[in-house]
Amino acid sequence: MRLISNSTDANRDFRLDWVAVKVYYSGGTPIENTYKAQGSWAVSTGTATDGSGNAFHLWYPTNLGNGGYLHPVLTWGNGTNANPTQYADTLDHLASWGFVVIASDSGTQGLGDLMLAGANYMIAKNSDPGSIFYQKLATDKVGAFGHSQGAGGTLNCVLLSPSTFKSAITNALPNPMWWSTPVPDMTTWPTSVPIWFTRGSKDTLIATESAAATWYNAVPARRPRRP
Amino acid sequence: MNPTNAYADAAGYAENVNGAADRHRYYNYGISIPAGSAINGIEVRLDWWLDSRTGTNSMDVQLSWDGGTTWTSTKRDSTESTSEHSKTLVAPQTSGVVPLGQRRS
Repeated sequence: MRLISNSTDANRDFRLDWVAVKVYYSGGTPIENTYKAQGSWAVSTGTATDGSGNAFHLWYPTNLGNGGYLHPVLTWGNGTNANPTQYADTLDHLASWGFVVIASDSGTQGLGDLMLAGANYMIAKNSDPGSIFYQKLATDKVGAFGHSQGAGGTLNCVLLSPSTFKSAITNALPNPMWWSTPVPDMTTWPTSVPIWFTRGSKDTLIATESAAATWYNAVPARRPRRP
Repeated sequence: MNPTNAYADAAGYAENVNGAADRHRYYNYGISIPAGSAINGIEVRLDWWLDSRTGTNSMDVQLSWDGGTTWTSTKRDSTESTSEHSKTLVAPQTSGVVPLGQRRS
């Protein structure tokens, strides 16, 4: 690359601390190529209702426990007024890689309690001899993830029960100004639960880049942050 | 002065004294792209400042895909500051690309 310094004043001094280049590319990486394809598990779907009357959709490997495999569990949070079937492609894809996915039918999941209820429902089914999930689940490998309001629910459900969760992912986590419920204090985020914040780079309204940085930087670091 | 200082976000900096209309090349970043990849975009980040805001000042970036024979159109940072500021410019032919991630600080 070349840099050109422009000035109408011949005496102007230009000082440059860093010129960095980032190249974005797709394909060619073994991890991406592997996991963007459908996994090897055939997928079944279903519905469930817990003891409190909360309704859920399920995506899970058809041959549960095949080869003695214990399936990790994911609880999903919808965006505002959305329902799980609107995310079916993603949730099906995850199930094809061996996850059991439970998704609350609610379109208001910001508090995280329904996502936690979904996780707890699956954990309970692992101990229920009458369930197809009996002793087929890795209940020590439970993750939470969600979109928009459900991304907020992801934060809250982990904070409600940190010991339940192994990891978390937020997609388009709204800026604090959009929250109608208390904004989680991310300084209390458990260091035992790695979290990945993702957002659309063209979103300048709901989940902005600066807010994402604020969310990210508030999380206690277990290790030195990557530059 | 000290042009190689600009290869790293470190304590030192490069300086172009009386630099109006000067050009400087930066290259050999050692970026490794796996075979078979598609290039979706290129970003250049500039951390720079001026000794004074007198006059009208800016910094341009151009990229070359053939070792400097041909150059892209210019992307410009017109922010005039006497303290360091950062500006990320996206290569013209890659505007509209959805970046895969953001640099974390």
